[in-house]
Amino acid sequence: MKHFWRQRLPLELLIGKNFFVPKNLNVWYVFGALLLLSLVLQVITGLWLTFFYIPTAEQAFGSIQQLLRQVPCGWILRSLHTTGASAIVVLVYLHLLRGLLYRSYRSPREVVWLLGVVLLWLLLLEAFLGYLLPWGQMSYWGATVVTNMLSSIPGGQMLATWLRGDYVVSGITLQRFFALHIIALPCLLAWVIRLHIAALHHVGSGNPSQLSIETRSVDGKAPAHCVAFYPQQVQKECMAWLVYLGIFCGVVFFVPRGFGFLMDALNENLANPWQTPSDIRPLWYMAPFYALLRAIPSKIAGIVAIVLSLLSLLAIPWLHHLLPPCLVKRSLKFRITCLSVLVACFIGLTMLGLMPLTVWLPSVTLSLVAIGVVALVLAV
Amino acid sequence: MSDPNDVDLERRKLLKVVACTLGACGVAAAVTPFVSALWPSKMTQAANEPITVDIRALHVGEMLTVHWHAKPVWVIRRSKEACDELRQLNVNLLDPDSLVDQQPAFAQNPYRALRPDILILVGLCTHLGCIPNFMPQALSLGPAWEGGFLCPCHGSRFDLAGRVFKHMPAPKNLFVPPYHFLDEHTVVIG
Ligand code: HEM
Ligand code: FES
Repeated sequence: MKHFWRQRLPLELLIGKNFFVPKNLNVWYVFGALLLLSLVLQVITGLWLTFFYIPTAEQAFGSIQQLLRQVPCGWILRSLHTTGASAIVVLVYLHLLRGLLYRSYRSPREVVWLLGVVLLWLLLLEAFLGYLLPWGQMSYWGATVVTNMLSSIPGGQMLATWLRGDYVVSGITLQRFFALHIIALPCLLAWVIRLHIAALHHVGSGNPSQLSIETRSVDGKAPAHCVAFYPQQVQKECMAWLVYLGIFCGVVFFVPRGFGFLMDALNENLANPWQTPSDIRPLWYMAPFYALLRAIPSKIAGIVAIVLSLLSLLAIPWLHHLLPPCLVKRSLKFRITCLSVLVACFIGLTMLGLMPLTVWLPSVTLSLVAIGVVALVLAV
Repeated sequence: MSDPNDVDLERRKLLKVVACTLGACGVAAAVTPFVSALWPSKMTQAANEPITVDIRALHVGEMLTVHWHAKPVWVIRRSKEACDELRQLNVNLLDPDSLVDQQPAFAQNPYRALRPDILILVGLCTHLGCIPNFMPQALSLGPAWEGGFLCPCHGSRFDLAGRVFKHMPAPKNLFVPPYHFLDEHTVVIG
């Protein structure tokens, strides 16, 4: 019986039996697997939300209220999905930080990194599209602001109208964003993830000591300093999944609103196209970009800054060539310090984006950006 | 069967060129309906008629919001003092003389209006399209505030003629729609 299947299905290929990884992979190397798990969970909870959600301007908001109040366990499904979205962003930043810490982006893994950056863009886009669906005030005005960003490029006003299907964000836009959120972006994400992992398997995993370790086996046995992906690495990853799910469920059941970070009370008012609320606060993971927009006193420059911040990640694998020779050799300790400064700046920027606008906010924001950029360049 | 090594390269090349050209035309043709379908539908385009507004009940300092082209349009009755103020405070404005094409020719004056007392504006911030808040009270936003509009999204400020202040995210003055008066109390917008 086993024989029958083995001859007809590449089972060993599917579980990665002849695939090897360096044996010193530490906990930083589990975030990719955690991301895969979270994305699968998003697909499942998302499917269940779709059973109840109605993508029209008249009913979207009400259908979610109904899911929360009338459907047995409905609130759990919604909470799993919203908390999952935030969790994915946290995981992706940790995964990216691992890349910076161990210089995973350096040769021969540049393409793995580039595909990873594309995944980050797609994830942010997917989150933005999903955020319109509850049709609350923040949903509505967030979508208005972001679609209008296109208007800063020539012909962009037309492009924005084309995307929205209307001159302003409306029910037509909602239906479109829904379709993109549940079909187009998930398919695209799945494909790019496949490429990301294919590229990684082609060149082999890096490792914390940043030495080049040959992971390809010539005789089917593990190469020096390597262990089999299955079962050794898979066991580690299962352990990580359990711990992660424990923390995740803890948040969902004990702090479902996440102190306003996961679900913001501001978005619990029905979208009103005739009234922008005077209290505006973006989702926490959009806050760094929002902070940039508020700090730069020019429309075009603000938008260029956001686009540059996302595009510049592509340059990281080659950035160290630009450094002066005296900086070629930097100790791990020095680089960890730089990365800590970078993380602090990023968290600072997020917090500034969540605060109400004050006089000193723009200058502090811009200083944090400047310090962060220098820290990043010194760490690559 | 012919010998696999005996491939006519010329014919292969012709085949490739023909297949690629036809394929490209096919893709271009196939994309057309997908792109066209996403433009605003006929129904969405139709909702663009001029509207008539009765301003009899609008008192000094008050604002009326009407809907035109799916956009909010403000009608505001300004006081005499506010109008006088508009002629002075000029240095902090980005475009005090309304040189940028954001109004019909008749509104290219310090009031940005046909009649100084009646201000009519499209209530969408020229930054990224939020609706600014009407803050008519002088000093409500600091010592230099003479009344105007504050956008809640990224903090752009406009004066009581919808002119944007310098160093704000918004790049232009608020838009003045075309309009005319039928009589003293009736205005047609559009
Ligand atoms: C949807 C999001 C993503 C998924 C599902 C994903 C998945 C994975 C998986 C499963 C691995 C192998 C295990 C590991 O090293 O953790 C991996 C490795 C890697 N990822 Fe991602 N990733 C995502 C996003 C990103 C992003 C945003 C970046 C950086 C911009 C990135 C850069 C890398 C790099 C450089 C490696 C190779 C690490 C090494 O072998 O040294 N990935 N990814
Ligand atoms: S939309 Fe008004 S300041 Fe940005």
